[in-house]
Amino acid sequence: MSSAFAVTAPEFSDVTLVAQVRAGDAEAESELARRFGPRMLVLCLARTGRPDLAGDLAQDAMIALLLELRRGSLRDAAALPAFAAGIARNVVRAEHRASSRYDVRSLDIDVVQASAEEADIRRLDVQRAVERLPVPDQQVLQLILVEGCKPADLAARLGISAEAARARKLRAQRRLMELFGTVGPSRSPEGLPPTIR
Amino acid sequence: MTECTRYRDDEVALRYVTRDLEEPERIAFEDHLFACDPCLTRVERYQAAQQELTHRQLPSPPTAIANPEARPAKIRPLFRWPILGALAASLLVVLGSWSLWPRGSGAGPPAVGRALEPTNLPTPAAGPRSSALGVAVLAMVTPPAYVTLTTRGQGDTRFAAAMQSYTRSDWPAASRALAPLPSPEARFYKGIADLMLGNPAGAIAALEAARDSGRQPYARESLFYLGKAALQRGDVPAATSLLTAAHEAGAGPDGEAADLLTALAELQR
Repeated sequence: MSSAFAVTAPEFSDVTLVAQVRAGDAEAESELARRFGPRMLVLCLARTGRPDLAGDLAQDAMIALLLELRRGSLRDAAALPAFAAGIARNVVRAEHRASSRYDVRSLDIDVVQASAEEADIRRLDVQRAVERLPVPDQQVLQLILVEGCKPADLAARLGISAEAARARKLRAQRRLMELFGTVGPSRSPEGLPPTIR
Repeated sequence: MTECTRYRDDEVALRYVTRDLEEPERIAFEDHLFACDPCLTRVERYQAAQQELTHRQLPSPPTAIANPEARPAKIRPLFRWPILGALAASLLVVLGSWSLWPRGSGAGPPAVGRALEPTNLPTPAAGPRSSALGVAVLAMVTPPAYVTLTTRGQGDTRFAAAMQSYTRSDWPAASRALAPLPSPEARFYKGIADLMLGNPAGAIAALEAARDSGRQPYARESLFYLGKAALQRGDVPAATSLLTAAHEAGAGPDGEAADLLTALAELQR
């Protein structure tokens, strides 16, 4: 399925990736950033609700992940995803912006920068997808995603039954996902990958 | 894109984006998200729609006016778009937490044994499930702000010059300039500079001197940063002991010692 946010299949297994990052393989480091950079970003955004802060925190988390893998801190490579998620959670929890442990000036991770390069295209895709939704669906999604309405709240706000509210919600969700699936380019491997130097 | 075999529909992804998952469920989903491309795509799409809809002006949906009690009393906005005051607010938090000095009485800090030996090598003591990385993340330090108040005499002049480096975040210069100054204040800030340099041994020596001086607020506040130094060394038991003392003494930025203790406990589970 081609979508604005489709993710290409990983080129490295976790075991290979961890071993090669530890060995200083630049390609593996780029793959690490490509694979986990977007995940760090969505986690930081979900937990902070602040797009202005999430990018910086994701960057900090990627640096922490890279350095810990270089040091060989992860013994069980199969635990890499949970390990990376744990780092992002801890970075958000601490919400510290300056690191005494990591000399971030010596690293250049383009996780967020690479996302920014695609940001205009993606923003347009999102705008198109949302615009193609019927206004009642946009209203429902706005109530859910922006105002935080639960189904019961939705029913009360729209003056409809709980069952009808659930149906409206599911319909809006389904249409949104369908539209995202039909607009915009995929995140292709030809695009500039995040790099770590 | 292949389908996710664990989460068949996008309901959990939506609840994740709208922060409607309990913490254990949230963590489980995040761990899964870091290995699942379809779920990442779902979350990215909802977050993108969330941002787009935050700005979108829509006609008000029809609302239930016949039964106003059925309306939710207050809906908490989930998504806070960047506001101009955000940076100022965060700065105020940092400065504000330090403007609380002096806190409490002039009594010295609670007795804490020498939990750290600067000459020892780092002794990672985290449990098997306690990620050294998590500890490292918790060890990150936000240096306390320093505001010049007075300048008196030669000693103060040297201190003031050193603190100019400190306020410029020139940690090597600050550490060097503060090194020969014996005052508790100078010991304290040298400890911070060494922490920022990733030199926990130097930080411990300086901060212990500040702590042992008994002079407030440096003696009390040193407890918190000694805890940070212990975290930099991966010494979780010492960090726990020192942060507990810091929490009890009200040391460090507001509530942070308690937050760190909670995070450490979670790491060790």
